[in-house]
Amino acid sequence: MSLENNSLNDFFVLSAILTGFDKVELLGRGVGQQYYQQLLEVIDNEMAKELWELTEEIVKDSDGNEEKLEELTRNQILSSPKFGPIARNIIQMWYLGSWIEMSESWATQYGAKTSPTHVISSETYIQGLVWDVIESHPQAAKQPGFASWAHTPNSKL
Amino acid sequence: MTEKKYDVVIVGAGISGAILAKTISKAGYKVLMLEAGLDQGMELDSQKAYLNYQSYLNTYYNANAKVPNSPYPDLLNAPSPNVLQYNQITGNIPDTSGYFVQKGPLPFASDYTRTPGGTTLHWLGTCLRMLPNDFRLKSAYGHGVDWPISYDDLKPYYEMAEYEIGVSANVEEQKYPGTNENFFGKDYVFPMKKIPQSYLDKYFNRHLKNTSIILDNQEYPLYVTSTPQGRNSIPNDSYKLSGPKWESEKSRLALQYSESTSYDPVGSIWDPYTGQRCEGNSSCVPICPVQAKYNALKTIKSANRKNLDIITQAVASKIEVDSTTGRITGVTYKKYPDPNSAQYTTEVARGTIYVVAAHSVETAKLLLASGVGNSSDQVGRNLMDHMVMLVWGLMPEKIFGFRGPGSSSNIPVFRDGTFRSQHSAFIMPIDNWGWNWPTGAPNSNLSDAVVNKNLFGKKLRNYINDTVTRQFNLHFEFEQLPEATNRVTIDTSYMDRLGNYRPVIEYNVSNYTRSAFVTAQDIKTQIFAKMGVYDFTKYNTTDSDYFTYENTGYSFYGAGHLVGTHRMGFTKADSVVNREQRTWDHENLYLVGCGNMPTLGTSNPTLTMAALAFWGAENIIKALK
Repeated sequence: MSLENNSLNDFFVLSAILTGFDKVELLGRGVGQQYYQQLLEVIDNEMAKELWELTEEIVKDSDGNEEKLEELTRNQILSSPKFGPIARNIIQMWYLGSWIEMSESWATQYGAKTSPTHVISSETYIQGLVWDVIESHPQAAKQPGFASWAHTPNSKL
Repeated sequence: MTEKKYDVVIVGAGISGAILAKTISKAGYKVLMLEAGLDQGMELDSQKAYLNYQSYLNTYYNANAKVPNSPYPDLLNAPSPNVLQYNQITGNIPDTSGYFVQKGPLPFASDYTRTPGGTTLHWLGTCLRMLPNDFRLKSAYGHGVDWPISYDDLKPYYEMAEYEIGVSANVEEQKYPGTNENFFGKDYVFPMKKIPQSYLDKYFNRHLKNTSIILDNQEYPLYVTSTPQGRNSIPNDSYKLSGPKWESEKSRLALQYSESTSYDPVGSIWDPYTGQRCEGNSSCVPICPVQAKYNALKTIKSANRKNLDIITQAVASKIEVDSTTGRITGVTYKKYPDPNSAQYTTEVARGTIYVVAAHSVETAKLLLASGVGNSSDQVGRNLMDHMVMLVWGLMPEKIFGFRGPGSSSNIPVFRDGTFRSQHSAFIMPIDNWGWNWPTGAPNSNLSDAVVNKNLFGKKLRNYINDTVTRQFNLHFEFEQLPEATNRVTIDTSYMDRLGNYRPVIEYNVSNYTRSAFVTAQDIKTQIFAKMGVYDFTKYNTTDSDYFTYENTGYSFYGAGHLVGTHRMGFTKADSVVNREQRTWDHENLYLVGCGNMPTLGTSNPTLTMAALAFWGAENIIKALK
């Protein structure tokens, strides 16, 4: 999957900032495209375009400074009544593999659609980041093997 | 359908029906098994079995709420109860939102699965034997009733059950209150070595050293024991049993001993090399992706299939009886060709002997619908379950939950004792999956961190890693006494779309059990203090099974341990089946299942039910001769 498509690349850049995982790690999950598509079922192209422009702007303005990037993300995106809720949903999507239903009033106000809470696909469930972060594996998948639970997990976080 | 006559007709293809079918077909008799669930769920061979099971797994992955029945088809023609549909019951208005019609006052909290293999598809797999005093609760403690059989009577059948299920345990570690060195047979070992205890179990054990609870002026030192379970592990080289086989000359069922025998773990039904060991999928409830956990399809698959016919999508609706002789003449069933349509044809299954093994609630329901076997008025009554009270918090250190089988150890200290004259016994399983059950962790913690705590990026990762890895959850599972007013009944106002009855349930929890919750809370306080736990336990007044006792509120869940609804007894006046598990009222009608159990004790009832199923099979073969 190529990221020549600027919008898709911006989605990954924003996802990396929001999730705390590197773009490369997120690409490696193999489900980013499904998340991108799910997002575009809820917000229209114009709102998406605004969000990507905002992302590019804060990356440029922070100029490699982690703290500055965090501050700008918080101020421009997370606390924005328009983009905050979407950004929080993007985080939950990556961590849980599910789309969480957003509020009716937000959707109405910003011309977006609502979608009920649902697991996006089997693969997204399996690739949920939350399991890695708790040093485990998704229930019913990626089984670590007999007796693995008897010891502390051996992961690099 | 053919009106061929069989030696034995069995209603239900769960573990009881499967053990009966296997044992009786292998003894040379012709068996018919009727199962309400889908054709494709009964695929036993290779590709179709694999594809069907993968479809269950796929349904699970995509389920929003990963509750016990979530992977399995919900059939309108043979509905299963759904824990998501249980609500508080207000006043006299029954809650009819689910399959059960709940009259209360408390909603009955457990579920079961109507599908080939039955509830063993979603069970945890814990395989504990009942304790000797559980069989004599009335004589020993003045509560409940006595069984017409003793623990010692059931012992040989427990060994058969442990063989058939494939139980992993270290016998020398099994120390239970109220038992002595003869509890297990001399030199008895389990087929496989114990499932390794989790890191959390070992942490608990270390920190609870030298901790005692004082109850009723007696001291109870706490200790942690590994839990025997029906889950594949390393075979035990000392295990020399196979069978059980019907020994015609001795007129009995017996395990076969041979020095050259070695135990082979039974893997998945589609491929024997898959599932030979637990692989740590951490999803036993509701589904083991590799079938390292036992399910009853394995037993059905190893029956004598030349002597066994199975009809699926066949919902038994009436047991036909000859009113003059009292003999059962057939089982009428509704055969539906398409699960998406209410269309069905009516057929009758005929045999010499009939067995209903449809699970406690469904068996009682069928008997009531047929007006059969109920001279005692006990059919449907004495419904019991374990009340599960969860306590949860954060350990001071990371214990890395959400890994391994749902539970690999328990604290057995309060499974028996003189306190049973005052209140319920209880068992304390250690839960390996963090706060998953009480709060929906880790998802709930993640969403809370993002939405309420406004965390993102690396700070979010660190917060989740630091807190969720310290989550643990401890169960208190309380025995419930048999009570005539806890019951399943039927009512023509409440039918399913095939025209069969829905179970109507009246249910409550007595003070004998409620008062045990108080003791349990004291124990929890002491344990949490000893281990430095940050307590997060919270019972909400809106929980469906919330109750108050002595001005304190508690919530419980159902354990899925439904028993008692057609109990065994000494006389026909107050029981439904005799010690042979034959109904008192009908010479050729047997009932096999947890419904036969007059008391519950503190063990998950499946192992006891399997033992009773072997004994039932033996009795039936004797009757056929």
